[in-house]
Amino acid sequence: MPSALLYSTNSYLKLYIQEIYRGDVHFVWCSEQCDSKTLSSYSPGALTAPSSNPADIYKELKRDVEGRDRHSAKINAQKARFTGLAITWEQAGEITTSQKDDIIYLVSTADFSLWRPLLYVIPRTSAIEPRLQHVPMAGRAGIGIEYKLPDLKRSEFEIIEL
Amino acid sequence: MIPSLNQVDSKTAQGILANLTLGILPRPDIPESMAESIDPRLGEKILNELRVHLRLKRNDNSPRALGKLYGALSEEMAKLALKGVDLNVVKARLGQQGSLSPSQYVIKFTVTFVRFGEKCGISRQQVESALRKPDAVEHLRPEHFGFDLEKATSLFLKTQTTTSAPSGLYHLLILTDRHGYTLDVLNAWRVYPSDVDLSTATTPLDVFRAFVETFGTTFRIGDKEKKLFMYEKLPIQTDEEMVKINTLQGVERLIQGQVVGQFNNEMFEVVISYQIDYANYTESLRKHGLKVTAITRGKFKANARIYEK
Repeated sequence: MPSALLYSTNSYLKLYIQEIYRGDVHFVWCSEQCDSKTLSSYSPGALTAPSSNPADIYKELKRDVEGRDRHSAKINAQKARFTGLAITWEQAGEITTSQKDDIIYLVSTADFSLWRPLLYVIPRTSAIEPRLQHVPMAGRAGIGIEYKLPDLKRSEFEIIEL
Repeated sequence: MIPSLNQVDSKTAQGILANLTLGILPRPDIPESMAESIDPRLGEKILNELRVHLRLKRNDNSPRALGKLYGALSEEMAKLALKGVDLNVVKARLGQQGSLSPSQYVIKFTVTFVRFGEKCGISRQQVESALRKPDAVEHLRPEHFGFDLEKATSLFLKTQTTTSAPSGLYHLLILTDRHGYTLDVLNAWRVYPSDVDLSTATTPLDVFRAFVETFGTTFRIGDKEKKLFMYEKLPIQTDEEMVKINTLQGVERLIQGQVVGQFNNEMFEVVISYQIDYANYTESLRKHGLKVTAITRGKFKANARIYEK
């Protein structure tokens, strides 16, 4: 039986960029469990890799933000992601050149605190279910089930800061 | 840093780096329809050039090495994308919408802060430090209330403890105007949880409302009478109707207030307006052991800033 909730860890800055520049539509990767380590070892969810486990992502990002780690793989991956996405969005005509400049400047100069992790809790409603995209094995770090949700609205999830 | 892109124009180079980056990142947050692949040999060459520059071994895929590689890719893309762009214009735009990191704002102090905030035991250094590293910040977005972008205010909160006062803990509450990447400090107050009911306050605006509820006085703008007006449009026919303060008969009170607004088709657009009763407020500060410098007495010291259309 599928779980009633889905979980996803994202940075504050990602939430902000998607709210301001993407019409409050959020692209998230999510799992059926918040922390796969708390599940029985025979449960399929326990096979989720740490790099896809919301609790592990949260802890790693929090540690890097608090330690102000300039070489954090997690933070630098996000900087690269949003810089690349801003260029792609602008070239696709989805945002203006000024908005691209704003996103890139924002991402390049953001204080560590803006990269702090947020846990999204997404009720698995009938409106969400058909929009869930199953991530194929090739795109996953482990064999635990993962989903992509490219059009999550702000009203469809709650945010928790731990 | 990337010789392979030396002969390529900036826009194309940005596209190549963006697609390369999104192609190698885990969880790229992009629909497959938008993902464009680049020539794998060119991608490999660029990554190798970056690895040489960063002194990373070709097969080093440790989190540390990947962190450096991602950092270098974002720097290269930013360098190309922002070349020739006036960064002060970008900064002003982001500052106005409240998107800049607190450390990036320029801080200025208004006369009101000097006359009231400083005299009530709040130093400029204390305010500056709280603005740079607040516990909470709330950038009020005027466009959400149907107001122009330039009527922007921000509230900052920082919990402070002192050993000299009997009740050591208080929240430093700071009200600012946002103009581009400048924050004009309008005023600041010490909010003691023992004096102000913060039981339901979760945001800086909640704390401000609770503070005004305790130390504010009711006054009237047009037909409405209350302690705090924020982002409201009120019908007003004459100047006399604009601000009326209820004074208690026979009691001289020092009241400081802020009225920021604009006339627009017989409507007065109030950005923020409140009146603080400084007689009550300073009395409460003294109870907390604070030496408050004398503030010039008067019935109404409104600091009104009206923007004429």
